Amino acid sequence: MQFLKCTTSLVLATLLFFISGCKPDTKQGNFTLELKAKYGDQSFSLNTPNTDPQNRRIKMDELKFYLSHISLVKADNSEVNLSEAALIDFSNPNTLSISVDNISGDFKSLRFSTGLDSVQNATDPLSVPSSNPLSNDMGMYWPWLKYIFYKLEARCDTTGTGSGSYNWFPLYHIGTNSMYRQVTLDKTFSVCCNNQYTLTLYLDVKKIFYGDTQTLDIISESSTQMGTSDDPNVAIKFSDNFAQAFTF
Amino acid sequence: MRKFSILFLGILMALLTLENCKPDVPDAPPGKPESDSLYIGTTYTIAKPFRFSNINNTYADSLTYEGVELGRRLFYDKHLSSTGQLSCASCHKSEFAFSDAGHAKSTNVFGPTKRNAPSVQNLLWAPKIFWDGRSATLGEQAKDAFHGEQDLNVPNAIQYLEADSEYVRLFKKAFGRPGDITEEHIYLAIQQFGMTLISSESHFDKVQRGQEQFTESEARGFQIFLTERGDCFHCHTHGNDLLMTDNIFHNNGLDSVNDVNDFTDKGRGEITGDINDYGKFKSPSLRNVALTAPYMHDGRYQTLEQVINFYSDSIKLSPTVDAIMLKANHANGGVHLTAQEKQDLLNLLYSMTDTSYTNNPAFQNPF
Repeated sequence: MQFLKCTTSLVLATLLFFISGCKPDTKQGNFTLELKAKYGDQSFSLNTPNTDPQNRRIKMDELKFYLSHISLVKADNSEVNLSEAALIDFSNPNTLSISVDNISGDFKSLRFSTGLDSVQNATDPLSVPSSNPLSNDMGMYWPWLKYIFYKLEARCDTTGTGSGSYNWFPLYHIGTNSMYRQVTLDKTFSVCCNNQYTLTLYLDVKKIFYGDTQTLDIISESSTQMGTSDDPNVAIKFSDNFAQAFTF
Repeated sequence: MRKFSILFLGILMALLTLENCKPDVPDAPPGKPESDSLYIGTTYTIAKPFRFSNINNTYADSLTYEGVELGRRLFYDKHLSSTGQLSCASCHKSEFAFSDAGHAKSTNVFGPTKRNAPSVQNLLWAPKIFWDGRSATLGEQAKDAFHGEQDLNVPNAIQYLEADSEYVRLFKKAFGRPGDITEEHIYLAIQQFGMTLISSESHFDKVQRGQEQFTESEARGFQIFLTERGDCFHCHTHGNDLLMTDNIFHNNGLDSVNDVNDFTDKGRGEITGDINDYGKFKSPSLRNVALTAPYMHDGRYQTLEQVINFYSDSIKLSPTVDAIMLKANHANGGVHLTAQEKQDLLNLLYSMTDTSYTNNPAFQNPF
């Protein structure tokens, strides 16, 4: 009997030892960056009209773009990398969140770039697996001008009546290295202690057209395919406004 | 020492005997005492052409020469239709890049259909098949076509195939044990044949590989194709590969329609039920396009000249027309190419003809 007791105690002690050895570091937590879009104070979804400040209806067929070098910046300026490159596609909910587990710290900002850096932009899309955001199958590459950083296709009813037909079709497909922008947005938060922290990042689609400092006119500046074709100023204006359209 | 030697020899012999006993394929079904080699096909490996995507389809791994040959026979065999008059090849003729030679709308065993039989090539790289993309694999496509076009009677077909010794042999080789002739295996054999239908040897391909040169007119045509001047590239390129289609669904502005419900053929919308997809069809590949008249999902254009004129000058508005179609001067119907530009574009399209594909003996009627 005594022997049994001893054995049981030994087994329990061994088990406890192993269990405590496996216990995760309680200082760490999980983090998710969630992407959403809005149109000023209106909600946004693809193929659903919003009303612009000039009372025109505008709806998007496609809103798809690259974010790269996404990281969380700690108070001591060190960074936790979330993703080297992510293709955000508002028609595919799976692309709208980026998670990283077992991180910890006091953070002061989110840092990311819109578009791809020059090294990423030199990738041959046929050389990477089809699941990679840079893959040929993502529909974001043209051989003569490399990756499309930002793709926005819209339909507008310019009558201002709120019920006219969609008669105007802004189209922006923008790439080339000079359209790459870096963004830092301040936000103080902590990740620790087995908690899940979710940060929601909004793209305010209205700001792409009605930026803080400049307006992209959907009539006279309604289309550009790439930074080097059509009117490069439209591509520059779009890229500037786009990078400033993110908010928490 | 001697004892050990005997023991060692004994173990060795036992191992050797066991190795000989090990069947290299599962046991033969009862009543079918054929030797094992009858059930093993020869592996067929697909070579990826220059600037094609990696082959992601896992079913490419199980390809055999016998499976491909079986698929070819089934593709050309009229006995599988309810009337005994039609095979897949009736509407997909090899000399026309497996399109329907002049028929605007194809005719199946039930009568005229509502769409033009598309050309067939490089479908191994197509994530969705048919004008409306209703099939995800060549096998699914084969099932759809056998029932929808040929009115396949499965018991009759199996009875017919089981009575043919060559079919019996090929089914065993292609699908191992159980090598029974089944409905599913019919579709999978067609899939295997379909996967080998690869076109990558046109003059256009050879220019891309640096082996040949464009003529001056073809080179100008390629510039028109690749730039906003012609704006063809949006739907007829796919990243960095040479499939010559984006494999995506678009409304290319064929018809002027005020309400989405007024489309004669709802296309992709019929499959998804989404009104935003009404009137959209999959971009066809431009490979071998000079051989595949008439054009569009309903075969409305008889010549490539008519097609180029349409894209140049006659784009029409409708609720789902692709914004890309309307980018250039949409109020006036299109990009308005000059006569020379149209000729250059036409010459470029002719450069995509691959007669080594259409004449390939491996793709012809085996009967």
